[in-house]
Amino acid sequence: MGRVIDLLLLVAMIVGAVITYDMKHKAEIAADRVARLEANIASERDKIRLLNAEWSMLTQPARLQAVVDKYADYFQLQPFSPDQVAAIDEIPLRPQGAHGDAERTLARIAAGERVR
Amino acid sequence: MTALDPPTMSPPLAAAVPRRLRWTWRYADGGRGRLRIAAAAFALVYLVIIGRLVTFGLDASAAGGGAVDPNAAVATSRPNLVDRNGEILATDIKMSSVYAEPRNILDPDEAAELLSSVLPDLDTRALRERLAGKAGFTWVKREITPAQQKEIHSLGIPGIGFLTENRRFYPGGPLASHIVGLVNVDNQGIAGFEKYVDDHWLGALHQAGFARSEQLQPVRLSIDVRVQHILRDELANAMDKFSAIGATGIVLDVHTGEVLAMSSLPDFDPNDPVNALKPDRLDRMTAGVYELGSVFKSFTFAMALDSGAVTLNDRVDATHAIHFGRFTINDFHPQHRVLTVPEVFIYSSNIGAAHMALKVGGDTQQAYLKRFGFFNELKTELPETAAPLIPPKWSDLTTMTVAFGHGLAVTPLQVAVADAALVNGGLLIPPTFRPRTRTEADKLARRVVKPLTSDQLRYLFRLNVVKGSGRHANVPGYMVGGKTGTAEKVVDGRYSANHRLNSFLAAFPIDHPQYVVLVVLDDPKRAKTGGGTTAAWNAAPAVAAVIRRSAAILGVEPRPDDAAAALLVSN
Repeated sequence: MGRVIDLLLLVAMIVGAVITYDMKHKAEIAADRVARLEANIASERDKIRLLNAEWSMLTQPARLQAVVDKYADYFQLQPFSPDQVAAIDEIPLRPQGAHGDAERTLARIAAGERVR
Repeated sequence: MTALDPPTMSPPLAAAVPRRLRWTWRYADGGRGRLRIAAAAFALVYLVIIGRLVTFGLDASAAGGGAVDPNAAVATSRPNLVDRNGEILATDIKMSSVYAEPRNILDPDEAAELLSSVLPDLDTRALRERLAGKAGFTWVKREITPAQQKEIHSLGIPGIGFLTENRRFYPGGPLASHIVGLVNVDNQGIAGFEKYVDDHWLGALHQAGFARSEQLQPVRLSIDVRVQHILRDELANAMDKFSAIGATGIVLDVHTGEVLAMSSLPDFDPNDPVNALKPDRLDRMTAGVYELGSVFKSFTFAMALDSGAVTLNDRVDATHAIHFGRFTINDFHPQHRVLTVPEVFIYSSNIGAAHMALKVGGDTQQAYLKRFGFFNELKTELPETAAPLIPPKWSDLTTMTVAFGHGLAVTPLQVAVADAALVNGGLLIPPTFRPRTRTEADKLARRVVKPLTSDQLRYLFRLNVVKGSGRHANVPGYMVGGKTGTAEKVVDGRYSANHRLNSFLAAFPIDHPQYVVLVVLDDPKRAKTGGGTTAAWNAAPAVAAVIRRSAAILGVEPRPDDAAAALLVSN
């Protein structure tokens, strides 16, 4: 009886050791992976910062103005004048009839609805 | 001797006890007490360990908190500075630098050759000499691109390594240089908003070693890069067209005190600040004090109407110049007749303004100027400010000259802030470069003139643009109101007739003002295309251009002009 218990305890100990070792090993692998991922995240973050900086440089109003000036002839671009600005409810609706659908759509837009 | 004491049990008795019983005995008796104590102690220790593990497991924030990357701590990180819409004004970018440890380099010739294949601008011979030396450390090249770093890394030369450093980058270059400011080589703010951030919290954070880039939230400013660009672009145009030596301008929200745009030319590129410390690069808006001339008449009218010394229906005699000792006060556009109060404003009569100021009286005038904030240094987030130059003695002559903007030198920012108070219903709101809501602004606001005075001033400003010297500032649809100022500059201690400081102070839309725009040109000349040299010819059109281009961005809806005319008639 005593031997059986000793044996059982021995087996339990070996099993415990194996499980512990396995867990430790897995934890080490996981830790390595975490470290690698963290390094990747850090490098991605740096890249994002760099790209954001580049985007911001490319969308600088001064640069856009230079580009617009350069291609003004091609795109026929002109600064708008204040009388070209209007709110949507200032646009007159089309007369009743053939364009009833369009009119309803416009009314829905004017009511603040989202129209596909 | 008791039965509960096995170790002292005599051998004959032990032999007499059966084996089975002996076993139970050994464990069941005497030893049991001590065993229990030991077991309990071990159990306690394990419980503590388990408990601690559970708390670690539950407390997610503790995970990985202990590890600080020394590299990140060395390269002092700064938060991004962004405009009111989140566009980047200043950001950190990581730059790698290559270094070498010559002692660990096996073959200096080969190393130098390989390195120069990636970095062709390096002097191969000098590099070889340095690598062949016995030094422990030498820089090969600072701030290389990520692609170059990758190439050098894949060359696998022993004794070559990389260090990352944070470098401050301003995507807009000189766009908002005076607002954003500068950092030094250690990435510490030394001017403008960068210095404000350091002085307030970032400096302490750096010292404690907590400033890491991913943990720093971007800092939002009140400016709008689009409006900022328009203002700077138009100032540059005006400076070029009128050969001015300097120009400065501001767009200010009259209800919140937020600065939407502020520029001072010539400026500098904070990415390469070699020029930043030249004296002509100072921020003329906040750190330069000027006698701004006739725009000051706005304040003389405000105090005259507000104190009741003068009403809009009064008349002022501007027939003759005023002689005072050896001084003569004259008009630039002399009418030689009795003027109504609105006429004094639109003809910008110095004589009329001087008479009105005398009616107000020197003491009341000083009290009002103090209330408008002209006697104190105006503090903002920016460290660069200047104190006004106040005449030491306030005589009647001082009262008269200050009435049309000579004798008292203030910063243009002070004028813009006080003008916002004149048009927003009479509330002086301290300016800010950080976003501020209307509720927050209302708490800071201080009443300086009655709402009625504000209404009357708005009428005068609009009248001046419709009929007076401000005609070139009109923008159809946006109802601009404003006042010109053409001041003679002091050259060698005397007022010079040939050197001027021209300004235009405007608010729009004048019936419900939302923004104040001030443009000041330093010593503009006559344009090649003709025209005059007064503010009506250079500062006023510059303001008009800024408003025309930025009103839609600022969210001001244009209205047909006949509505504007109707308002003027009804007043």
